[in-house]
Amino acid sequence: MKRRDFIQMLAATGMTASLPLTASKAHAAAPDHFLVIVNAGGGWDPTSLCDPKGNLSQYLTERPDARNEGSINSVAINTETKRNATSGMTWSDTPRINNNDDTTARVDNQYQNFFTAYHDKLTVINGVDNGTNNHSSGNRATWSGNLEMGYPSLAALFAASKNPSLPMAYISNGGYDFTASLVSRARASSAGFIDRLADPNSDRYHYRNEDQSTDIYSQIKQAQAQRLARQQSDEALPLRRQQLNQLFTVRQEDNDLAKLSEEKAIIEAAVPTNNHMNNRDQGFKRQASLVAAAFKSGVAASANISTGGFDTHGNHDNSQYQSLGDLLEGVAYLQEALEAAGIAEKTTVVIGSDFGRTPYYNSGNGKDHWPVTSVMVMHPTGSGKGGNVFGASTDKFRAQTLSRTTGQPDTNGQLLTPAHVNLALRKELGIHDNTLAIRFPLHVDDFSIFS
Amino acid sequence: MNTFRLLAIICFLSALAGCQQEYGGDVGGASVQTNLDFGNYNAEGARLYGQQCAGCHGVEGNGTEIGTPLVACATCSTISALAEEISLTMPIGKNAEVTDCNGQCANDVAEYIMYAFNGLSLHQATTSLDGVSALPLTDTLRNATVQLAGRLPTDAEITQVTNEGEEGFSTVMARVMSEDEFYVRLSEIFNDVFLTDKYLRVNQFNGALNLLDGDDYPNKNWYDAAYPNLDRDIVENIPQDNIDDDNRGCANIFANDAVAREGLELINYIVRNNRPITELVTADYTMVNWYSQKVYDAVLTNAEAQFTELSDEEAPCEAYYSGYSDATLRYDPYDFKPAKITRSLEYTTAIPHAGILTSAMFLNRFPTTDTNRNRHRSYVVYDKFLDTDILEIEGSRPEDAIDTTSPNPTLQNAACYTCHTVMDPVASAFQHWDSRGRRIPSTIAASSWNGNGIEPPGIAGKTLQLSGGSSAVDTMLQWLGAEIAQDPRYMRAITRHLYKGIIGQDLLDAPGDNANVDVVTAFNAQRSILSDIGQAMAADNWNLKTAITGLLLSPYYRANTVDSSKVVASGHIGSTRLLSPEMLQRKLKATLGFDWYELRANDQDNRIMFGGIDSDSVIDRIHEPSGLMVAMQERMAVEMACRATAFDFTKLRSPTANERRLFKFVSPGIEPYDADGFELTSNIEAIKKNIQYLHSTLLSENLPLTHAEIEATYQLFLSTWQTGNNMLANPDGFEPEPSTYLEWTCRARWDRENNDQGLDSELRIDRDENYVIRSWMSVITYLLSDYRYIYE
Repeated sequence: MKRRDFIQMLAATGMTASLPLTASKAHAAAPDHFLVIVNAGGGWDPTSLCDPKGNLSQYLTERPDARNEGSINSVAINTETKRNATSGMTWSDTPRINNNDDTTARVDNQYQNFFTAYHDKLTVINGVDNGTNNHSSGNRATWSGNLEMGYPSLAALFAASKNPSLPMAYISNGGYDFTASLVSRARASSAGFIDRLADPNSDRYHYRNEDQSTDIYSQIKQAQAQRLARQQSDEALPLRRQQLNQLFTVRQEDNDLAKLSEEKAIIEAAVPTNNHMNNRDQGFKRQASLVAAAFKSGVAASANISTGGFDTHGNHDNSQYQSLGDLLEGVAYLQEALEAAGIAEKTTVVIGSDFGRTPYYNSGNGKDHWPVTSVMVMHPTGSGKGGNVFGASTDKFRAQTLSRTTGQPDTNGQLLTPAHVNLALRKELGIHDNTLAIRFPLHVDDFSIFS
Repeated sequence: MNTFRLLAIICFLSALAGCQQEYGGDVGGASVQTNLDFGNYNAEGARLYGQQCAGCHGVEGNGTEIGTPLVACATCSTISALAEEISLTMPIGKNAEVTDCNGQCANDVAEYIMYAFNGLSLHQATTSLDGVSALPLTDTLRNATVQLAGRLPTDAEITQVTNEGEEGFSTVMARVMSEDEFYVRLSEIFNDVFLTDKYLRVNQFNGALNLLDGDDYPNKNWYDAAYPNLDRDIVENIPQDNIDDDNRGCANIFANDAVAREGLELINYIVRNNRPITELVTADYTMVNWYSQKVYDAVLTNAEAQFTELSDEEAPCEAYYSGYSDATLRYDPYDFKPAKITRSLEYTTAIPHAGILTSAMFLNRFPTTDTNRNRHRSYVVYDKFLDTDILEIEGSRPEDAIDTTSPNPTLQNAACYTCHTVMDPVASAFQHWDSRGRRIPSTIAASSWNGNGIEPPGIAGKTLQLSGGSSAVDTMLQWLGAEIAQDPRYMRAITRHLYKGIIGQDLLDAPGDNANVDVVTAFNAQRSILSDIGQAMAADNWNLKTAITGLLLSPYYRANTVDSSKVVASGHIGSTRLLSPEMLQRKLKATLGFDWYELRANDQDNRIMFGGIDSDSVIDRIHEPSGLMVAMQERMAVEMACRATAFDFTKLRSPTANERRLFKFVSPGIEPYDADGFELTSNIEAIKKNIQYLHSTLLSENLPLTHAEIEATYQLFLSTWQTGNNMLANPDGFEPEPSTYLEWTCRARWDRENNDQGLDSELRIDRDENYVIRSWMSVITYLLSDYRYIYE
């Protein structure tokens, strides 16, 4: 049943008075902006990515037992081919991985492609102090702006602000996705099955003629909706009343799931998941194409895409760089999918992780947890934003006080934290001053990260 | 525990409630069996009362010259009201030794005062909450049997509960909790805690066996040798080859899954045999089935015990996967027995078992690294067994969380030490277990354990005494397990896990200092009831079934209505929740006799889309439905109604026997009107009676025949019947042309309750000439997608 038909039916039966607040017309429109959160699960190493420090034995004295003579990285900073001269954006050179030329070249290609193709729409935020090196706390801090429990993820807040009653308003396949009951999460992984869900009666078990003038299933749906409205008004237990309201809200929205499959097919025809760059991380790319299709078809507003392989306590160089390379290839696929869907100019992509990794190698050539990290933001195509670096860690990969306007080191400035980054993102996404965001205040001063 | 025993314990507790006893830091456990020294209902409350209150209010609560009596005091109406008063006002005259008594302290003391001086009974305290009305007990029984045993209650059980009340309920539930299906649910509840199902074959190939070291367990892949993969080109005896193939594949799966499930099977064994749940961390044995015993070369604790062999009809391999039809293995994969690993492993002589703590599955699911040094495992121990989130320990985090100058920041930097002094001793106790869960004693060269700069093994301020001899060194986790089992927080942790599993919600967070008084009241009330239920469990030899029965009888499970003038913060009261994929499948089986194809175990993607977990990267269940999930529910309702409706009409219905699940009062010939358009009153009455029955059996909604909801459902039946008959009478006006035949899938040609085996031809129903079957299909679709069906 289409939403308008549903509302008409309720009006005819005198039940519109029981519509929940979330079903207001303002929420019925398809989102005008989309958000993707890409989570590098396990704690990535910014010095191996967008905040390289080189092999300068920075910790030789403090950590005499560290491998690589106390260097933060095992490779030097390459200012010739791994730095944008205009913006100063610098990315890590590639160490020799697994003693294998092909692997090393592949990762180098993944980095080079990403930072050259997307430099102009990329804001790199360095020197973020997450204040923890615990996975769950770090994840929570990065994606909600608050170390403590109870705050929704940025993507949940965004979806709730845009339209919480969409069938898959907030797609989450892992990562920090607490919603504070603002919106339901949808775990979507099987597009084929979603296609079949578009019409529960697609097999015509209940009779429906071709022009749908006779449709027994619509009689059932109408009876269902009327019963649900009665249950809502009669329920005495607050818990059940809240559940009925949620069910009512979700059920009364148009179900455009059929369109999702169509859009996914179009996207994958243009950008095949199994024939893209180095054909790495098919799982990520399948998630990305589904997310792009869900946005395009108007059934979702935000999504979490989560991937792992970053908790490199041992053999850091052999694992971390490959995981980062695959992540960058995956995000490149996502961008191409968004372009193919024609919505790259409406979509913001934020890439981050639990925290960073130590600026020295342990006895197993690994790197342990470290609270300083980075965040990368890919702005909508054509927004004119990007091509810049905000903030900085010290030469020894420590957090430092920064100017709130320039992001440069400033002894009179403040430490840049996830709360600041989330506040700036809320503003950038236009959701900072709505009633939902106000319920979860961040209590920090502005950093002009995106201005 | 039956009600008689519960009442006996309550009486015994009542007798002790007035006594003053020194609190020794335990709430029962092992001591219960020796000297019954479990003190008052709330031992911590008794201790605090003696320390902070008795000086003014008197040891017996009768008051003194400087303090009012507490017997029938003004605020002694409920525990929560009293706790609130204590939080706000007590103790008067606090000094350096006596600090504010709020939060847990206030609650503990209030509980003690209510029990000891105001005659509150345990039963009353755990089953009622002022302002909350309870569902009828028979409805509670129906919900409990569906949730915990995947079946509806029998008529005899309903009668027993009707006649005997809560005592009858407890008796029936004791029987329910002996059924196999209950242990499926119990494993689900505790897998949500320990997540070891990650290693099941359905999630990973050889996920569990690959975690075991081949040098420790050289026979871990025993089935490869027992059922060799012969080269078909040189083997003439092809049938034997097929048998070996099937036996090998089947044994591999059963061995892997048994190892993966050893922790959850330990819980099942403990509960099934009414053993104390403290054995979860103290058992000096593990659990094996016939297949995993060979993996470990484990020795059964009962040397005489024999594993169950099933009949050819029950062939377990084929039952698991139809492709294993040639397998000859008959040992029951679900028959687990306690056993010990006594053989020498590469670096150790035998495994000193300490319940789940020494299971390689637990140790791998919560791994460590050389630099993490078991601190993550310590965090998990505190969280899972001691109801303590280390990360919430009071004290602000250092502004700069980096200290690269102190040689040992965790010992020397005060900002770090606050937390590490709690965490590190437990971490140290795991020092003989490496990152992969292998036992490698820290004292030998092969160990990578670095004991420098970390606290020695201990817990809660107590340090493991190693001077007594080498056995203490070897058995650190056994010592730790025994300490955990004696810690009052263990009881809270176990009841918390059960609450989440049975009620479907997390417990309320502790209110902050500035919390609203209504929030504080709600927290105190919940804490109090849970504490009492835990105490009853501890007093009953830590029998988990006692706590489960307590939860089922608690207002949080049975709440029906709330008086908002008495209970202001009430959003958490009630146990209605969106069904998980597993719960939905059980409910479908209980009510229709079979479950939904799309959510069966081999389709993990669909289960995750329906809000389920894979115990790996998706570990958080969804409780608020998205549009996607609602679409799945609607699809389920249509597909299940299609398969179930005509099929149910094939079952016997006669004056002497009625085997129908859905249509006990009607046949396909029962139409509401005759051919001339006259009402058939008795038919309509039968149809409504059947609708009434469906509302009761599917929705647990007991309505009179004249109720508006019965009429609304009847109107749906009628509109479908009228539309259908109109189409059948004028088929030319419709495209596609309506048929008297049912849609192929909706026909009764297959036994849905027996793997879709073909029905005998005389039973089959292909046609629906009067549109009655399809009218009932509409009704079943309508009811299966109802809130009361998809929520429980």
